[in-house]
Amino acid sequence: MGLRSWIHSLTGPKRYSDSYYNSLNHVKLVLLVNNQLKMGKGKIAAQVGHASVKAAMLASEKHPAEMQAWLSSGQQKVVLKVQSLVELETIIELAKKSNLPTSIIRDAGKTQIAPNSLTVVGIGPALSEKIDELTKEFKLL
Amino acid sequence: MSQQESEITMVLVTRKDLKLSSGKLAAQAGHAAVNCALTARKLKPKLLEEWRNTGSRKIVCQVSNLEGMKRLYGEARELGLISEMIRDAGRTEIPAGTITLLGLGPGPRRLIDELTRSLPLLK
Repeated sequence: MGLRSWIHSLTGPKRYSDSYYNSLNHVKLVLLVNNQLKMGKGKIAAQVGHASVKAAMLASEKHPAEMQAWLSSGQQKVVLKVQSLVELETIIELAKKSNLPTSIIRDAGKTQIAPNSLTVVGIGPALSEKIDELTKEFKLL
Repeated sequence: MSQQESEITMVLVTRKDLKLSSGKLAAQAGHAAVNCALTARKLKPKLLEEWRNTGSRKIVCQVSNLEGMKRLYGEARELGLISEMIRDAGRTEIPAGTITLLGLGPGPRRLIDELTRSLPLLK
């Protein structure tokens, strides 16, 4: 290794190992919708939109490898329903413990629901298996 | 200019003639919103920041069919608005390649409202 590459290896952006990149084949974003709130179709779509943008912006900053893998594999998104706020809050805690990125959306409550309601939680983009551990019990919306 | 007119907004336009489940529609909306935001980050980063700092206003409305959506897309492009049509991979519910949703913005509400004023909101 020449001097310049050696300096670059110390000061340049961190590289992940090849095996880590290969393991990023299945990266997804899961969006958990609070089904306790009776939101209409359009309202849900807008809230999921918020969570997706938030998750993507967070990932670009903090988890660029996952973000890249997610984008180049077609931005897989899975929308699941959670029946109660308590369950949703539990999942947020667990996700944080597992170091999974969370994007929490609270609504201003101008329409349909009370202000500051927790509407959608995004988990990821991250490895499918890691997210599945937390979310496999929930059904597709 | 009133405060409302200077607002930055995003509008997600769905097709009335496509029957999608709530979850499917939401995923497509997420897709459109992300693509619009990423395009904005490349082309109009200041606008993206302003939109995100003011609550990321986003509304969802409907157009009757694909033709109407394409027309809207063309008009938005002419006005220089960020506009992204979403094609579904078609693994579920609908045939592959179906255009499901159009995202407009983030952009000045004044301009976007002009295009979408006549479209009913999807509640």
